[in-house]
Amino acid sequence: MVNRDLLDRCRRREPGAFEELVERTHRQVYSLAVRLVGDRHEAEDVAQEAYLRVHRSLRGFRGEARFETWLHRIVANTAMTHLRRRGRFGEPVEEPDRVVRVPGGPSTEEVPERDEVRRALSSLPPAQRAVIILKDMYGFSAAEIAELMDSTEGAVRVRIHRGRRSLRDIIYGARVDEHHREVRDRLPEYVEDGRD
Amino acid sequence: MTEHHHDVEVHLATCPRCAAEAAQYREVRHAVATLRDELEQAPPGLVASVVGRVDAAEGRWIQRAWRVAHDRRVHVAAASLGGAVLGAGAIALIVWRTARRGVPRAA
Repeated sequence: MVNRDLLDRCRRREPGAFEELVERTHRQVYSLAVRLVGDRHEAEDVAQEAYLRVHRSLRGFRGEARFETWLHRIVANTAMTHLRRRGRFGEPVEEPDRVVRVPGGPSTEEVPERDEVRRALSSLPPAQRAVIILKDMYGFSAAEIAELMDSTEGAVRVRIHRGRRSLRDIIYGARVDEHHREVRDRLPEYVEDGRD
Repeated sequence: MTEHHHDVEVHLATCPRCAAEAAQYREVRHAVATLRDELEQAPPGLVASVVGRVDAAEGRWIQRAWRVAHDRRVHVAAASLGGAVLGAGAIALIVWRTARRGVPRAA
């Protein structure tokens, strides 16, 4: 994607180098922005703002993390600032689960279609959607997400739990029976820490 | 697997209904992870807008630095500050030397 040579040229402010970096990365940056803010027009603003931050901070990037990881962190940070400014993180951690089953979703043993997952994901409240995207799609840790969202790790873990449960319920249908409820309540974490 | 989830693992081995639900969570999580590879088509002018904004920001910074470096008021302020520092240093030196001369030597 972006190699060391290109980064060095960007740091030296060589003409055309930063444009090449944007050219190579803009679809990833824009995709993450769209997923987090949920609006294409706003995502464009977020992507532009993120690149300004990248340009300002590039000299400070020492390569401890992969460039892609560093870039994603900046985009996520910019998107979170944007959502916070728009008051989109207003919903409390105890937000009620909104379970609307996807019509024609898979039966209990089928693998869900990508479209179903995409639709289910977009129906989650913004903060819940953001933590699921950052955690399960981009591999951020709960602590990193908490820092990005200006929240606590505990609150982020609660959102991850609720988000995974909502997604499963939307796609496969909510289970209302009490069958082994105490074990089933732990499954959203188990799929990460257990055999995954 | 962490120790914390050992009892869940044991339970799932004997309960097909809960095991099926765990499998659904895994399927959903896996499906979410694979969505990352699907890249959105960015708006056509995005790269040009980004480069334009970066150039403008950089241009503004250079212009600001140039203005500061060529502002007569900044030169006067810097000269005044330098003069004040020199003056204070000279006074401090005179006071120090006077004080040293005034101290009687021990017999």
